[in-house]
Amino acid sequence: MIKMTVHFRLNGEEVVADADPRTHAIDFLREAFELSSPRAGCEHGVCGACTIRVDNRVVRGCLLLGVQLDGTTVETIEGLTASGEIADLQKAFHERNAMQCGFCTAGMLMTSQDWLSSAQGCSRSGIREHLSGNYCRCTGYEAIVDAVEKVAISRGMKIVEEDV
Amino acid sequence: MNAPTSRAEKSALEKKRWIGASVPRPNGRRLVEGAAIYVDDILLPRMLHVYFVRSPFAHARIKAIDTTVAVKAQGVVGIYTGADLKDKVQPMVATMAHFKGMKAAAQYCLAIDRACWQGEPVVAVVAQTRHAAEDAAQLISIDYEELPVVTEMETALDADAPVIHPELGDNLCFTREIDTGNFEETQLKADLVVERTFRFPRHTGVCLEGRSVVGDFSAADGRLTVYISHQAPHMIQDCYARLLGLQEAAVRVICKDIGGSFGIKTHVYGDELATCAISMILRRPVKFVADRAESFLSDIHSRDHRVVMKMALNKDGTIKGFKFDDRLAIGPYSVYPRTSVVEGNQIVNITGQWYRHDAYHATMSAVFTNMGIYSNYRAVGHPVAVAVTEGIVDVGARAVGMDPVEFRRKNLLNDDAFPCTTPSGMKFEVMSHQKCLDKIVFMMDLPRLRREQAALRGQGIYRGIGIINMIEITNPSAMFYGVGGARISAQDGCTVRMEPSGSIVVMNGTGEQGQGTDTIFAQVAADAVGVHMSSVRVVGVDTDTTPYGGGTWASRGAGVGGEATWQAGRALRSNILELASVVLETPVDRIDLREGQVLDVLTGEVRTSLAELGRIAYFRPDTLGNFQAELSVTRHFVPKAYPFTFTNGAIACHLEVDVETGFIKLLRFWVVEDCGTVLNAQLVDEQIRGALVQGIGPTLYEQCLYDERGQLLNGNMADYIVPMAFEMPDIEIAHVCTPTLSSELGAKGAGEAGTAGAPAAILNALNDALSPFGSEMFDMPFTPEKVLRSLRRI
Amino acid sequence: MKSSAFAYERPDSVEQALAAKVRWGGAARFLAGGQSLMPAMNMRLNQSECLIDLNGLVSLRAIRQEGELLVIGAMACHADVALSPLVRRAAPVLVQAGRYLAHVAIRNRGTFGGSVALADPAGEWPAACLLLDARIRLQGKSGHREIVAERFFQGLYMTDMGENDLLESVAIPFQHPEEKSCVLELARRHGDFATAAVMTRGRVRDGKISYLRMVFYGVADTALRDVSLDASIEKMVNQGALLDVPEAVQLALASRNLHADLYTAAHTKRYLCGVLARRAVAQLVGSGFGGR
Repeated sequence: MIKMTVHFRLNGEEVVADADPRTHAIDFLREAFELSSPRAGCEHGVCGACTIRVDNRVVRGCLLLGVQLDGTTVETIEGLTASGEIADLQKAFHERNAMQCGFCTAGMLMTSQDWLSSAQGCSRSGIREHLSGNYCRCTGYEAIVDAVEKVAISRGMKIVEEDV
Repeated sequence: MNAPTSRAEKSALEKKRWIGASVPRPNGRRLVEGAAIYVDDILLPRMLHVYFVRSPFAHARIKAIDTTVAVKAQGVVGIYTGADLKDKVQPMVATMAHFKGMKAAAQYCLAIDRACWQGEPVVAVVAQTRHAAEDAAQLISIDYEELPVVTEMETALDADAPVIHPELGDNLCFTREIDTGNFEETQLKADLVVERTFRFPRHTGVCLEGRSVVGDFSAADGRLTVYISHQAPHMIQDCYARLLGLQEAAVRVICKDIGGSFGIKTHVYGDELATCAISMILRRPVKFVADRAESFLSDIHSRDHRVVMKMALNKDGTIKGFKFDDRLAIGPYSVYPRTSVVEGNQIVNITGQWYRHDAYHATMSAVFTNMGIYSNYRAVGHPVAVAVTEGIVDVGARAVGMDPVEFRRKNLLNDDAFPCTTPSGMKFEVMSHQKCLDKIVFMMDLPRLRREQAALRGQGIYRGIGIINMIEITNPSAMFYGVGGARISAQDGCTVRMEPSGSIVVMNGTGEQGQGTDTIFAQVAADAVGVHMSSVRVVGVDTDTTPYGGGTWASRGAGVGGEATWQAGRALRSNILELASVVLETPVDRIDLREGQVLDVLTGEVRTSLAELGRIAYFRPDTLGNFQAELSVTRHFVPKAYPFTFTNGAIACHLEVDVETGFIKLLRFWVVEDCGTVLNAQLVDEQIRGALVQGIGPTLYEQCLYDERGQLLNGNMADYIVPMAFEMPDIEIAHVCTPTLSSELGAKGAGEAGTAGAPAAILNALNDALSPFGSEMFDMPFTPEKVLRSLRRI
Repeated sequence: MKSSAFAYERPDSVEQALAAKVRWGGAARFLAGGQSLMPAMNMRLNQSECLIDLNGLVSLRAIRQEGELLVIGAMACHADVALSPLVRRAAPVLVQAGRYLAHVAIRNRGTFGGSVALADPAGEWPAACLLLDARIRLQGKSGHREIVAERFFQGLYMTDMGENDLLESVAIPFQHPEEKSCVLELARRHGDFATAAVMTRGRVRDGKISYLRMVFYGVADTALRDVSLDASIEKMVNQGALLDVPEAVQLALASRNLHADLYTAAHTKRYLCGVLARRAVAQLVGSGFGGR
């Protein structure tokens, strides 16, 4: 088994670890760094539980190889929590009970923050569209949309017409 | 202590500060910060990983298993077949004594000689890593001889059908009948009879966290510790002890965070059991996590019904009787220990029962097939019972030219008709169907929706409105499982204790998987004792420490676990006041405990704090004379007054059908739920929403598709269609509150109602939308293909 | 679902990538976005012995203009294509199609070239290539070559690419100033592969259409185009006979080999193509006719 050395920036810290090329990024982060928030729900790129941020873009961690993280900046929920970047979003989720079992939550928060950072205007259908690749079995999604909408408004996003 | 008898208790509930409040979950913070601990996050020294080689065939003789190459593969520690585990693990036979005539074959944790469903575990490969185990699995060669397969429910009992378990004689697992004896006569006398055939797809739970377990056997202690993603830890303790040949006390079950359950995780699975047996053999921790492919193949499936439903009625819209036959296709084994027939059993018990009628004839038959194993999943049987009832009610209303709401008003049990016993024998304590119906009609502004519907039809836009009433079994007594001989507890216990610092610790065996039971227990305990909720901590479920309980299923967490918490909290409060009375040398009725402080009831003066009482009780008992403080109290509760505590509600669906493409767009839902006392409004409402979306799943999207060889065709997240955010509607919720008198809190269950009612609401809305075309649909899921066929467009 | 073991190479240049592929031959696959390849690897449907990672080939990421051609580098990701102002100017149908393409996390890694090389019958980019007469630029042991989309897509997941070819870029002629386009996909859920889909473009002037082209995808082995059907539809639209479009489409597609999927029969897909075609051209000419 060939192992390759991977140097990258993880949640603000320069790190290095060895990885077997076949190990996907989620398993790599869990095993080499004992992070528990990166998790896989399907390992074929559909459920979105594995959503992490690499070089400032949300990606499916289960479809990336650990060795492909070399030279990148990787952020997981642990990092976003420590930096406070999504404190308002986490608070809104918590208060609105936008999480039940919590398994989808890290991925949901990542994708929600991605929408908040890139959307031109706030609409519930726009939130739903951006979150359409993140599976949740518990909430039925409405509470999540409520929480994200609340944060959008508090961050000053303009409300736009629903795309029916 | 089953009813609030004392004025003190009544006034305690009236003064509640936490009960009823929409408090955010204290354990919610770790979920949003990525600090949750699921089974796969548990890392133990020397832990190994197991991967299961599973049968690729639905039915096959296992002629030979060759592991000689695999056993030498890198990282492999051991490989086990069914034969290897036969002496270590008892087979499972899941029948229940009160299901008369039920037949089931013995199921081994790993298949021996014969595999009976695609996905049945056959060989366990144990290695240093999951990767290594999967690599080695590819090196195992198994010689299978395919056998004839049973996949069709309608032919499974034919004379020439292959019999899966010859020793059972045929493929009939269980049949049941309830017959008031007068339906034929009623039918003859009624003005008309309407009949339709309903189909409900086989589908599965798709919990985001796959089934997971770590079995950790310590030879030195002779104890097996099981970390498991499961809803019934004490049941697992009992089952594993008996099946693995251990004393009950030698098994410890610990549940941390659980990534979704919905009933999928209330059963005993062969692969999880085998994992623990292997830990006992190797004397090392062994972890098993079902990946997504395994989950689709080996999690229990559910539903899969065909119901022929008949209703006899008069021209004036009076319902006279119901008759139906329900057939369900289960897997090759009855799943242990709850069996695979509760779905059908519930349907026979409850269909139609919220409408007045005097003739009832219900039959059900559960047949074995070689499709995936099958058992209880959220709302067990109710989605079918409610859909066939509410569906035939709308058919009847249309047949007599009556508005569906008026038809319901005429026939629903009146709100003052309780308590009563139904024709099927169900005992209803109290319900509020008429009130819920009135409320939902008002909430949705039905007249406006109807006007809009008419106007849009003129523009070629077809919207539909479906309104349904429903009931839901919650808080079951021992009539559910206990009487059948299953060691699944209907009671729950809670220990509430005060620490020296005055903080309160709650230990309850009910557990939670995200529905918020831990939170409501904290709310209940806070009010019961008289402290601020922030000083209450609820500990995780551990069979070594949390009192013996049933777990979460049949929506019993709030009503049963919550009641045990309330009673334990009240008892602790009483003990604290007794202690305070001794310490303060003041009569007990002169002091009160509020927000953690002991007050003079007349002057309001703060006399002492819980922290001070704790200091004295624990460290200065020498100052208390003969008095002994008891600051740790356990109380148990089981519903006794009624076999089940029924809730009721109404659900409405508004949708639009694109009649050219067959695509259905869900516009909005409304729910009026009566679940008695609401302990946390936000948590209840979110349960309703989540449950409702889960009910939408198999109505429009979800189905386990099998071919004639018993091969699952869509066992992945791309081909098995679960609801995602974009297609789901907003759901408006209101409540009616009719508490149960069978407990002090009066809380009924609420976790499954949405799943129970959503299919019926969509069915009726769809048929309402299609009515201008004379089309009707009763075969779920309502795919665009089926809609187009119904409209005769293709 | 863990992938089998494989060797991993990360070339810095196209030449290195090609050399690695020649060395490994059929035992190696190029790894572009990985959004299709990695699920197959994780499910062990594919057990390649080596993955050659193209993500280091920065030169292949460019989206640029070459005269009157829009040239999309093979490694440009879906998100970059869909958000590119140049693409919006040159081939807005790609932006329209991008709205249906999977989900944001997939779009951030999946590549234009990877999608074209995979030739998924429900893929938006292969269908767009066919619609736009794209020229696919390949590099292999015989050097550079270019092939028009119509000849590139040959069957189910089958293209003209040789075993050791690398898809470098796709060249798309700039759209005509009068051109409008419309993409309509029917999918069970947003971002899913289409149950049936249509992409159409044409020059619209005074409510009349010319140079109409239509491609159907998600219904057969490859995206489908029928030149005589294009002409018939164009005529019908200009004669105000939009209602005749569905039947003409169904007739034309009757002789093509449409596939059922798990939920939709082949003849249903044919029927849906008819409905979508009518709606798409209605949108093109802006008549607002023909349903939602």
